[in-house]
Amino acid sequence: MSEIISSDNLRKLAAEWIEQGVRVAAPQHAGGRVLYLPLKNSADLLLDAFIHPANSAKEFLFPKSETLYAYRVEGQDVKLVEAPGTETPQVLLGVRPCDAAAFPILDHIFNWDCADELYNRRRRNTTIVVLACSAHDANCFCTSVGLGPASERGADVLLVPLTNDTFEVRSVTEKGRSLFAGKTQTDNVAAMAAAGPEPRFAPDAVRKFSAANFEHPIWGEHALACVGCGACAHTCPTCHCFDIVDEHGERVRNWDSCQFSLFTLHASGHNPRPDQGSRQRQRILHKFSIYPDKFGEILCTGCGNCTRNCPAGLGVLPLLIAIEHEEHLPA
Amino acid sequence: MARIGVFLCWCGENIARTVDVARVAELSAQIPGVRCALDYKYMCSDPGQSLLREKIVSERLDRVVVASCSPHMHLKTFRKAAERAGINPYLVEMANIREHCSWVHPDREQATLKAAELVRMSVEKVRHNEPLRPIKVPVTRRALVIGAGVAGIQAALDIADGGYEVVLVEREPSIGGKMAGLSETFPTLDCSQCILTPRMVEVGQHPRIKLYTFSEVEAVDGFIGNFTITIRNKARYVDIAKCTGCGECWNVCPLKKNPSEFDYGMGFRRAIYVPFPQAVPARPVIDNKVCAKLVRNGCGLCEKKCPTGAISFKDEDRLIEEKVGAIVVATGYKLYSIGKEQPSDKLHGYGEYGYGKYKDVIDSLQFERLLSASGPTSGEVRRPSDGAVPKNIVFVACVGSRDNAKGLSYCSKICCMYTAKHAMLYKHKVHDGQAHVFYMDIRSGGKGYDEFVRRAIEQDGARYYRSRVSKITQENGKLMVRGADTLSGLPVTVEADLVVLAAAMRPADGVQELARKLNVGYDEFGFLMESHPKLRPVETNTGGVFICGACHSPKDIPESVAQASAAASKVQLTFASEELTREPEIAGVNERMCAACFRCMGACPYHAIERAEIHARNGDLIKRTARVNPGLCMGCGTCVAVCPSKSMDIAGFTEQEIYSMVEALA
Amino acid sequence: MSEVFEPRIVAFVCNWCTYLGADLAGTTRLEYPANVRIVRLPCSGRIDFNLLIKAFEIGADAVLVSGCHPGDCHYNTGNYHARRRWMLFRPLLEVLGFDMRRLHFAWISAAESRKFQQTVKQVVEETRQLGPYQYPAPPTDSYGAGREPHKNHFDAAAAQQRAREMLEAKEVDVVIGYGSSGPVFIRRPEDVDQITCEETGLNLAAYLGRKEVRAMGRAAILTKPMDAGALVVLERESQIESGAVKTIPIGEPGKGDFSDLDALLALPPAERMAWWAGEFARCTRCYACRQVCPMCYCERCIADKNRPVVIDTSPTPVGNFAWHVTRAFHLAGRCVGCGACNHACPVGIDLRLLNMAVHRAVAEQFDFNVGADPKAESPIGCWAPADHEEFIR
Repeated sequence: MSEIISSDNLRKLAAEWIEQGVRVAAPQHAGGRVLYLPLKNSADLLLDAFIHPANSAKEFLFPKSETLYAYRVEGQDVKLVEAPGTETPQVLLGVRPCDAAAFPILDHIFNWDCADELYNRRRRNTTIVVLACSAHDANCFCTSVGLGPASERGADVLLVPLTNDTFEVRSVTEKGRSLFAGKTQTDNVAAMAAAGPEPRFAPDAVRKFSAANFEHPIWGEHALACVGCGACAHTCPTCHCFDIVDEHGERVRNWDSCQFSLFTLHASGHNPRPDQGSRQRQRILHKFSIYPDKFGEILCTGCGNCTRNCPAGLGVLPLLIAIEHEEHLPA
Repeated sequence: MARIGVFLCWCGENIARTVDVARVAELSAQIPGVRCALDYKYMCSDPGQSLLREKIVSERLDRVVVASCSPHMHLKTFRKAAERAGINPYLVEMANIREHCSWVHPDREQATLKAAELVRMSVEKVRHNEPLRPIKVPVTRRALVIGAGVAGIQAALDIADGGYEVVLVEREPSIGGKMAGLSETFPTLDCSQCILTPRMVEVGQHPRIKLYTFSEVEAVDGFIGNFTITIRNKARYVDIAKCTGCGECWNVCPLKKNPSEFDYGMGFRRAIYVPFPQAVPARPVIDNKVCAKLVRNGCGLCEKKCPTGAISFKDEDRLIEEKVGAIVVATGYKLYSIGKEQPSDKLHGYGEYGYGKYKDVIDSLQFERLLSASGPTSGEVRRPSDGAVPKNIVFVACVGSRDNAKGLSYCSKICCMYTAKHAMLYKHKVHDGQAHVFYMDIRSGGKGYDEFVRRAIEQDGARYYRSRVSKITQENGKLMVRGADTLSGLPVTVEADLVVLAAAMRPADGVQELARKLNVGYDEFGFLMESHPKLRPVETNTGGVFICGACHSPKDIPESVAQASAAASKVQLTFASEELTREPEIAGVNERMCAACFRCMGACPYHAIERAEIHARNGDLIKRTARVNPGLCMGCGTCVAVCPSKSMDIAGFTEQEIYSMVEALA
Repeated sequence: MSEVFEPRIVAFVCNWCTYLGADLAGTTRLEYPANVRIVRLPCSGRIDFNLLIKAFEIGADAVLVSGCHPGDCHYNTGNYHARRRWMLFRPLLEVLGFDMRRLHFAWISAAESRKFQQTVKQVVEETRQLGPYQYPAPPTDSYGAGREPHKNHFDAAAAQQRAREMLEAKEVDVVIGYGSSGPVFIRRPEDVDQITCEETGLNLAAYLGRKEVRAMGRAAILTKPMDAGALVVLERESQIESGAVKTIPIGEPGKGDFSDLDALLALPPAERMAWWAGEFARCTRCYACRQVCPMCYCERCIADKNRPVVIDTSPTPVGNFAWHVTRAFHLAGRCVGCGACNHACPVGIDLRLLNMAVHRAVAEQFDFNVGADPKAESPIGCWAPADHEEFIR
């Protein structure tokens, strides 16, 4: 037996949530592309075979700019004021499996050494409704990193397209089950997830190569066209580097990127990563070697956003394929 | 943490009446880094300043804010006081709580709160202030004067008499300029050469004047106090050291019929010649465009005849370098070319006046030569065409001046006066002659000037027509001058024997090129720009470069001389000590961050920014950068505003200081 | 009764005229409202637009900028330079929908104490009417429409041919071209088939300053019709030598099209401002717009400096507004309209509209063609006596 919901009912449900004051974020058309944005009108909700949105859903748990606390100078003292934080419940609706798979990674990052209360509070109030993919483009490579078009990792609920306007509702967690409780019909058909992209490379080969070839020319060559912006990191579901600045009496946490030349610039003027080659290498190493060595999983979900959003058309995929090619060359 | 002291002034009742000074002190004391905040009746008084000094010592203050009147009033006072207590004067700021607060805001509460904010702004600024030291620039106490007309001569003599060496550069073979060719001068009618030639001789013999005639300024490098000048000494073919000026050479020169430049083509000279008898140096020059030896290797008589062997046909231009600390530009003027098409100037000329077509239509400088006792006619007024004495002579004023349509929009200033003089001198020489003057307005401001014009009209019977001349034609050997008298409303036609056109005054040729070498601005007409029309009339925007005479604007002899003396006194001021001391609040470049786009260079009013290169020890170019010349920068900060990365900043008003002030208002 | 709104006015004034004019107002006891705070600078030429933005950020409701009258500048021409910059800054603020009634310019001499008094009075009164300045909160529920990324396709065969010739003749050491997935750096004639001209969004002149690219030697770049102008600007700004970079033009020039800009300008200012707030809300400060711009070659961008923080680094409404104003104004008289910034923006902000507004002002007011003559003086960094100033009191 399976649970079924029609797209009309899904929209109605979304409208209900909005009505109840729930913050619903979902893929929509904006800026000439598909973006995850707060949903105002449930009619704007995209449910068809769209490709991954240009941004990542991480910004609803880990916003691009967040006040950690405020401070006030009083006389010769400084007074700290806790940031209010938010308890507003939110539903991330129609999230791609590759975005959802990043949430357990973020959960880990924001808790492995000390618990980030601002993140955790938002996380507790969030339910993640994943929409399985029915299409992919040349940049998608979830299957290369152990995921797939109907991966449940990170999901509270997984919606799998059944027909043009119905979805099978697979509850993954209790939170997900209660969200859809009483809103579905039962049926005995089961949705078949679409086939994902062919695997493009083996992460292990990348890990081996990058651990052994720190000075390999491939890094510099591949980075020649890299312009050094943060488009890849800012739209990556797993990139989580941040910078902390004081502005207007607030201590603020903002997204950062290892691709910025300033990222590793020392006060002395020395920069241990002086060129884009070393910065790109860092990005690959972190995702496929350093992080897996430390925490046992790859820091990449194969969404392809870095390539899709790269002004120069680079991103990690072409480099990963090239690396695997190098690794398999006879020594 | 900074240790800032805030000192609040009551200014008697001036501030305390509307600002609760004690409360401002209380609020100021709460600003982080403020060690003490106290108020006093008169901060600028001796006891007030003592209090400031005592507190600096006892509280070990390192920065000070005085909240009192305008910084224009007392910033220097308090900076000095703080300096006496051991604080760098530039770590003192003021908050203007009198002019900008207590005197203009009657509401006590509002005024008090505003005063507190003004103090906070100054505290935040001073927190980021950096200690500054006055800038010292060494000075080469030696001046260059460019142009040796009456203005250049005056400036050179003043500076040299003041005890400094002068390098005087003149383009022509002799000094003297336009004035040397004039007949008599208004309004006193003293003979031009009688008053000028003694000054010329003085220049020639002055132990501190190094004279380069027949020379031009080729290049200028450096800045105030430290210029390096390259002078091109043009080939003269006569060694003026060997030459005695005996005259054997020009007496044998067979090429006699060369129009004399000094006589504006009214007389002739040889191919080897002294431009005029009183020339300084009284040494000949060979015209290499005419001389048979130089043109086609013929003749050579003069060389054979010269008793001292001073003539050498192998002479070449020489480049000479001179180091000077200040420059006076006195390049003078030329006359507007009346008849010529002047496409480069977008000026049309006045073809309808027949200048260049009719021999007896001449310009005013040519007429000066006709009047001059040393001129081609020995001072008799004889017209060029047939040497006859003209009985009817027409003077046309404003030829090219004050004419937006065809000429120049400005007034040439001296034409009214010299035209009256011409009419007068003509009458003195030709008693039965009649002078007619066509004018637009008579502009005769100046000591004894209007009386002079009246004399020309009333005593010497010059006929004045308030009329523009429409056309001059030649009919039956007469020049028909046609106009319409706007006072009587009637058309006027004068049958003239000679017509003299008072052509507009224009800057001398090449002055723009020179101005570019000197980084001096010039206006749309090519006249050099002074730094400020009222307060800095002989200074230019380039430190150490001064201007005088007609290169700045049309002017007469007394004005040129006055301006030359002014420029000379500015030069001597520059030389007053061996080092120039300049305010340290000037721009500086973070050369590491400068992207070398040089947008700042275009914005700098003082040309104080240079392109520089940073090289590695092995000589490789590391990068280019803008660099500020501290000798030239005046500290306006326009460069900072156009610098996109703010690699440019200005000491005393740094980005950090200004933003801190603004953010203090948050 | 409701309280009267008391606006905060920040005045940036020059030291020699307006500051003294305000002093004289004090000396002659001319009363005016206490709402104004004066920041003294050497010259109006020093007053940078970022200062005005900062003043609004810290809570100013209106800003007054004042200096010496034309011809009176203590530094001769600082105020002319200032006027020139405001002439171009205002059209930028206009397209952003900024309320121009909050930004006041005045020439006030040291003698014009009464003019100073009257100006402050008027500014305070007008601002009282307007109410507090607020940057419009980005709509949480509706976002701007943005624009489709431009996709251009060009014939690669001719470009390949030309590249091969140049490399074979050793005219250049590297040809930077468009490949199937971004730029390619071709150093050998046999590799020219990598030039496929599929992804052509970038302006390849942006790579010329890169250390790695310089090390390759003499370069040729493929240029779309608007791109080559960048080389002119780079030469004007001493970044490249005349003729040092060869070009291989691709594509046919189109016509300048300002219709999108005009459509935006047709909206009332407040709506424009709100629309931009929605656009800027998507900005994450990835700086792709900056990184792909051939004109953004500063060693250290002003947005990356923190002593002082001129532009907030946070991707907040305030920080993003300051960043996009700064980026656009720093391109005044320099933007060649290649559109690389639009292409690069991952969240589809139509940045070109800002550049176009300034570009049009440059063309119309100064008859200046940015990409034409490298010797021509940039319209910012010079001035003319006839520069209009009807916006200055």
